[in-house]
Amino acid sequence: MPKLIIDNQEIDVQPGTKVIDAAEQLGIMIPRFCYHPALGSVGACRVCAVKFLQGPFKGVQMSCMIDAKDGMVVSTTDEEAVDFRKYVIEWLMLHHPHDCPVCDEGGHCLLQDMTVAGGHGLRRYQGKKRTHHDQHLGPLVQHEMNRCIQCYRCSRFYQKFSGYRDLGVLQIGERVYFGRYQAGTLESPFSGNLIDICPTGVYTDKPSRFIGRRWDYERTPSLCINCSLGCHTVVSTRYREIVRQEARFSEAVNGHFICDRGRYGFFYASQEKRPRYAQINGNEVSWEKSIQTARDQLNRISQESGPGAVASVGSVRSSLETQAALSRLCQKKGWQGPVYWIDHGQEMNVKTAAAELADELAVSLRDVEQADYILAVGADPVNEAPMLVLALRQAQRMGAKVCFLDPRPIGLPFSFQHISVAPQAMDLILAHLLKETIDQDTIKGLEPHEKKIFDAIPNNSHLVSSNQKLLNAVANDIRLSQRLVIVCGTDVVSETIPERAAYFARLLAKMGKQVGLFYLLPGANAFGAALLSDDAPTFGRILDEIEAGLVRALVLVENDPYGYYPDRPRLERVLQQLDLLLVMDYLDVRTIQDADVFLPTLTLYEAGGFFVNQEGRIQKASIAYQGGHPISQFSNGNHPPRSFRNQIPGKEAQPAWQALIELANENSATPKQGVRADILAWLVKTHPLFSKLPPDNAFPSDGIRINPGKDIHFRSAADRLVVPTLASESADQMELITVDWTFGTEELSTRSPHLRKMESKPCVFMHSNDAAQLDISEGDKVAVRSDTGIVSIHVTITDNMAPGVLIIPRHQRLDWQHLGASKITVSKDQIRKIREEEPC
Amino acid sequence: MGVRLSEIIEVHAGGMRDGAEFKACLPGGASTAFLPGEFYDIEMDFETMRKAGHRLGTGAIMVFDQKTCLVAATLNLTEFFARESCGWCTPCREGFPYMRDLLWRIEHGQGQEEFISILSQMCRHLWNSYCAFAPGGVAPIESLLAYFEDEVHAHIEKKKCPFNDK
Amino acid sequence: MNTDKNESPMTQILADLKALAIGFATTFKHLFQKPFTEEYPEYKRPLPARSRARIILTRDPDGGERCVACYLCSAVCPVSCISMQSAEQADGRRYAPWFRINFGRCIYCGLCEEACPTAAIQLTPDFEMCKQDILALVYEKEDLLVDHGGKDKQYNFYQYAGVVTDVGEKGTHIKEEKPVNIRSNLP
Ligand code: SF4
Ligand code: SF4
Ligand code: SF4
Ligand code: SF4
Ligand code: SF4
Ligand code: FES
Repeated sequence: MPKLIIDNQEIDVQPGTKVIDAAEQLGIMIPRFCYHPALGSVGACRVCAVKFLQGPFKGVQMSCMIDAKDGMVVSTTDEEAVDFRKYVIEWLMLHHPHDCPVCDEGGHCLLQDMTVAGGHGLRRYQGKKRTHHDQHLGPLVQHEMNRCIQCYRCSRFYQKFSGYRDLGVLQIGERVYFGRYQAGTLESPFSGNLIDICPTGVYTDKPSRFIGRRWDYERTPSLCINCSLGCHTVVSTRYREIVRQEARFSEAVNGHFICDRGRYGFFYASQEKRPRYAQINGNEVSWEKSIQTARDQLNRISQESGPGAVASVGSVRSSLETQAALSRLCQKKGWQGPVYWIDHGQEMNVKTAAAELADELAVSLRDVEQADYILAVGADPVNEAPMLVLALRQAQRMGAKVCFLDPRPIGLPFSFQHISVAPQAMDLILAHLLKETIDQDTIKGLEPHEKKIFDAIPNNSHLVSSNQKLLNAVANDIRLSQRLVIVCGTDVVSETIPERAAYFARLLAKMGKQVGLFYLLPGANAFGAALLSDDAPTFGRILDEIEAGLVRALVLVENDPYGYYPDRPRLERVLQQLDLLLVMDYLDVRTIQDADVFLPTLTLYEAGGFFVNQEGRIQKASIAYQGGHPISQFSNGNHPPRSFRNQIPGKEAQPAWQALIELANENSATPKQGVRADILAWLVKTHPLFSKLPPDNAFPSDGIRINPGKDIHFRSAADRLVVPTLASESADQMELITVDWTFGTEELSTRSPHLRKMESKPCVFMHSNDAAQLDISEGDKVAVRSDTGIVSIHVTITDNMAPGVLIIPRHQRLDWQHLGASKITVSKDQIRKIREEEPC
Repeated sequence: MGVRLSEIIEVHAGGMRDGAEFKACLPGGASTAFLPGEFYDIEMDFETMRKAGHRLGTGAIMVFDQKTCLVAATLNLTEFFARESCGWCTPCREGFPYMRDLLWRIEHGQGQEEFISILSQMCRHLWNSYCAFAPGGVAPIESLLAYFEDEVHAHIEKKKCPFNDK
Repeated sequence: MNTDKNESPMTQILADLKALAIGFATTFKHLFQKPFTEEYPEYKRPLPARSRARIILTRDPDGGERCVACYLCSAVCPVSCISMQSAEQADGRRYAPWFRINFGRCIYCGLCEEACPTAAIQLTPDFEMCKQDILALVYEKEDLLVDHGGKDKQYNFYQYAGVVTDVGEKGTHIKEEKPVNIRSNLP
């Protein structure tokens, strides 16, 4: 451990620590512009100069470039160093446009701070200022090049760190320019991070342009719930509205960055259309009245037809508190539910993932960065869990190989292998890969039940032989690697894959490798739902029961089946049959129109709460503000009303858990305080997994990980892995799958007007062979007919996907729900080219 | 190697032009310091030059006579360095254009006394640049201030270039 | 009580009477002199231009609103009586769609004026703003905005700041070079 002296204070640091960081550990903040812990040292800005008095280096040197070494004596206040830093600031300000008053960075600008701290108050330079034209970079990032201080952070982040190429440095000398070759929307889904890392106001947040100053914002630690990774964020609130969301550093999860879906996905919270008042049959009523009515009706139905006639549906976007309150309510009343899963397949996939994620296999995003080989099965990071891309990229930069086994046209900003096979064939291929990889010794040492699974892997089929070379190469790479991570999706994969991935991981561990398992789940709190859903039926099953008249009342808690249920006509029909539909939500979901009783709930920004991400990490979001109509909407842009009132307008909504507890009680006298603590106490008591849950005030910032292992309840046999399904190959059959997209499919972020501008037009992906056979060319419009309806959609043709597969995004502006199921098989004559204007 | 500067000029280069007197030379291209008259007989090898505090650089010798304004010559050289900087680090990228501006002002009669100290401080600070380009680039300015400070003062006092009668 | 124990009560009374007499005499004398005081509502004394009272929002020489809604005045205000919202105008200017000062709280310290980078907010000598209704002391932008430049007639922030507005493109502001052509290597 090097020991050095900085400004007369002694400190021990880890080997490899830069002097600038060693000083920071002592509380001495050496100025910096180009240095960034995630991007490393490059020595470009020269503002971190300090004087080395003793040790291996002498004189004025850059503290970001030099590793702390034993015997160093460093002065940050040495006259020569201070004078040099002062000059650096003066140089950087030579061409500064002096527009802080109209710059959105003002108030949290590193350049402002350093200029003031460096004592550079008056301008000496008498020459003219260099100027630059700005570029239009799309709807998220505003460009103002005159403010640049050439720290190269943006180009380093954009190209080196993330791997995207369309923004970088142009020109030389004092003319260097940071931008794109041609103006246009940035291609990276991580572009918003430019705003965070640029130390000046070159890149500023466009959606919150000219809205306010950092010092006026209430800044609260929060979480992103736009995918299952649960990145840490900090939200800025002002005048009852979230204005901006930025990345919050997290060692284990997202590091310094977040993706654009997360950054701009919060606008649902202040949507003008957001329902803010309780309703009965579409008429606004008081909260109490709604609760009372709902309670009476539910009790009546439960008395008339038994408690099983009431079913409740929970949500993977609800907090753990809400999920627990719902479980408790169902338990108390004997209702069916909580239902979380659309169909058996989704239930199996998610629960297997949660159950297989043993403590020794679970890895965080940060651990993924350390891997030297990554095998991704049925996962499309950019579209399903964007921040995983950056983790993979870091691993790849360090030399890791990345291989995907997936039917989709995987797009990543770096090189990787892609075995594109149809969804049905994936398990077979994975099983074969496993067989190629595992060595004889390990096989011999297997437990009998494990051996049985191994032996059941069928021998060659034509599918395997056509991929044999690739599989051999991959197997070889895996055998050569030391630190492996298997990433496994749960969306497009068949029911056996999550378990096979875990099986593979366990065998690799037996081979002496360090193995991690990293699942992707279908929602921010899908893990919590997996823990709390027990033996509840699937949503499809509940619909059957409603049709059969067995279920008469349905409680939808922050769950919008119109968004995900793949058979829209059936859903519409069945919901009409209910005697009571009770809806609780903070979104303007369509079910509100059908609801008999509606209760507005609070978002995570207003209610806070715990969420369990896909690695079983419980994380906490704090309360950012109290809710109510944002002032900007309340005053229509003009000044706020000049009247006093002691109620926040539009603040009737309550946390969903509050509503659920009020429903559980026999009268309305439920206190508003302490309810959350009660629920958590119940959770800790009822589910031993949560016994580790620390109190709110001692909650670690990176959360705590619970890995349930086999505590999860399953309804099916444990040894279902024995026979991998073999794809039935038929030349005129195509598998159709629906998939997630970065922008346009996820229910919360699609409510963001800014992300809507980022969405691509919905399209169906088709392999070029299939397109040629069907005589379809790029951009044609086709009608895909299924048993339940027709979807008409433009075609995108590509070669890097599995042939024989159709891929359709679950785009919010596409009626994909007419397909009837999220995975279907269509024969080729069900796909027909249509003219542009032809209605379907 | 080891040939005297005077010999190079007088024998190998054919001597100064008629009426021209040796004032200074750049012994090794644009990024070496001016050699003033007192070094006229110096031996042109690495060792001797190094002892004299000079460098042989590229060995491309550029000679200036007594009618040449060295401020203008330095301005010209600095112009070159300002354009050639790659733009990576701040001192070089911004420092050369700044010094170009100051030298231009001195040469064109807008000079102020404090420019001299700014120039010399900046020359020192440019040694803390990322690569060796900047320390080389400041060599002419450093030597201008070291050997020909009077000439610079004259520019500032007269509010014009003394070599330019217009 | 008089502190001097040696004085007789009589001397004391005399001294007190004398003091009274002098006081009354002074008052009496002033009855026949021109008063120093000014009759306030009837006569309004002209105040120096820099006296600090009612606040205005001024305009630049071209008539544009000076305030760019930078929030510096509201940040510096020790009693937090300024609030506003900033937004962007079609011509690229940043401005305040609403701007409110609560004069019921303002202590006329002038810090807002000092902080203002655009010379928009200025205090004026007009101090007559008592109101019965406290809400009437809450001034909105339309009450604050005037049609002149106040004490600084010349300054126009957008001529200096290097941002594109109706006042100027890149490279046309004071002391600016033409924008760099990033596609050319020529000087
Ligand atoms: S980047 Fe910083 S210093 Fe530059 S205008 Fe913006 S706030 Fe001011
Ligand atoms: S644009 Fe920002 S991040 Fe990029 S070099 Fe300039 S100051 Fe640095
Ligand atoms: S990766 Fe997922 S959790 Fe992270 S910021 Fe993006 S959407 Fe949010
Ligand atoms: S004068 Fe002082 S108290 Fe009044 S608004 Fe300005 S800063 Fe606030
Ligand atoms: S400081 Fe000036 S420009 Fe800024 S908001 Fe206040 S009045 Fe407007
Ligand atoms: S922070 Fe060290 S050189 Fe920029």
